[in-house]
Amino acid sequence: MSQTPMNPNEPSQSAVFAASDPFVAADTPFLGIDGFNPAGPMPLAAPLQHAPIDASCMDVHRSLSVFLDGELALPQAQAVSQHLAVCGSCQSAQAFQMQLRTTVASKALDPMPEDVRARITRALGFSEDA
Amino acid sequence: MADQASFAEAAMPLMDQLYSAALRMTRNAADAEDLVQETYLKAYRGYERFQEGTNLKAWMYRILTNSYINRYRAKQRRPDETDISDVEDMYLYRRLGGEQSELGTSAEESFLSSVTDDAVKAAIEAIPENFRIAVLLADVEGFAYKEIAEILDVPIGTVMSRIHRGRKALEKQLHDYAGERNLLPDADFGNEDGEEPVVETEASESDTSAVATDGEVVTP
Repeated sequence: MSQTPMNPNEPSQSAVFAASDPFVAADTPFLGIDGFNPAGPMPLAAPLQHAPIDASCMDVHRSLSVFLDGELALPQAQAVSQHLAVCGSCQSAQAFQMQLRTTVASKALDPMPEDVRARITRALGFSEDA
Repeated sequence: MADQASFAEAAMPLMDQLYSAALRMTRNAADAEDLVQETYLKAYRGYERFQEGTNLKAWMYRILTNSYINRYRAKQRRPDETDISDVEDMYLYRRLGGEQSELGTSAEESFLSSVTDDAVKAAIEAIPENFRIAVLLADVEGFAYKEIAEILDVPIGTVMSRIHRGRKALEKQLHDYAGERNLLPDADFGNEDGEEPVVETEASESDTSAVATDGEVVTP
C-alpha cells in the first residue's frame, strides 16, 4: 500500500513536499532541492535500463577504469558498485570497457621467433632443450 | 648449477610476453629481439641479487623497461604529438554509439570482434611513449599499479595519470581505425552537423576539465 503514488488530495502526504511553507519547514528535516526527499515515500521511477545520464553516471564513467583495475578506494568502489547494480546504461559501459581490455590484451601478442629464442638460449649458455 | 636451472625454469616461459612488450616499445622486430636478449643476459647475470619469492615477472619487466629507456629512447626521441585534450571518459564507447544502442545489439560489440590484431598493435604503438609503457604494463601484462610504480620507479599517482592518458590515446587511435573502416554509426546523435565527432563541441570540452591533472604534460 505504501507503494501507491501519492494522492494529491491527501494533505498529510503533500505537506511532506511543501518545503517552501515556513510552518512546515521549521520543524521538518531538510528535504533536499525542490523539496525532493531522498529517503521519502515516493517510489523510484522505473528501473533504469537506459536511464538518462545524470551526475552519478558521470562519476561512474570517470572512475570506471580505476574501478575495473581493482584500484579504487573502498568507499568509492562501493558507490560505483551500488550505482552499477541499478543502472543499465552504466552496466553496458562497464561491459564494453571490460571487453575492450580483453580485446587489447589478447590481440597484442607476438611469439618470439624460434631462431631468436634459440639464439638467446645459447647466449645464456643453456642447452636448447632446457 | 641450481641457480641456472631455476632461472631457466622461471624466466624462459616469459619470453613471448617480453618480446610482445618489446615490440610495442621499439616498434621494430630487430630492436625488440636485441632488447629481449639484453634483458635475459642482464637478468641472468643479476639473478643472484633477485630475491626468491618476490615477483620475477615484474623484475624482468623492470630490466626490459630500463634497458629500453637507456638504449632506445634517446635514439628515437621525438615529441609525443598525440593530442588527447579533447578525449573524454568513455570516448570510444560513446563514439561507437554505446549510449544509444539497445543492450546487447550493438556497433561497439561488432567493432570489438572485428578489430584486427594488427590494428590493436598499431593503436598501442601510436600511444605517446611514457603513456604507452604504462598501458602495456597495465592492460596487456596485467600488473597492479604498485607493481608498475616499482617497474618504472615512479610514484603511483604518476602511474595512474600515465595509464589514464595512455588509455585515452589508445581509444582515440581505435576510434580513428573504426572511422577509416566505416565501423562508426552515423553521427546523428546530439550533433547538429553530423560531420565532426561530438567531442569537438564546446560543451564536451568543458567535460574534460575533470581529467586527472597530477601527471605530466604531453607536449614539450
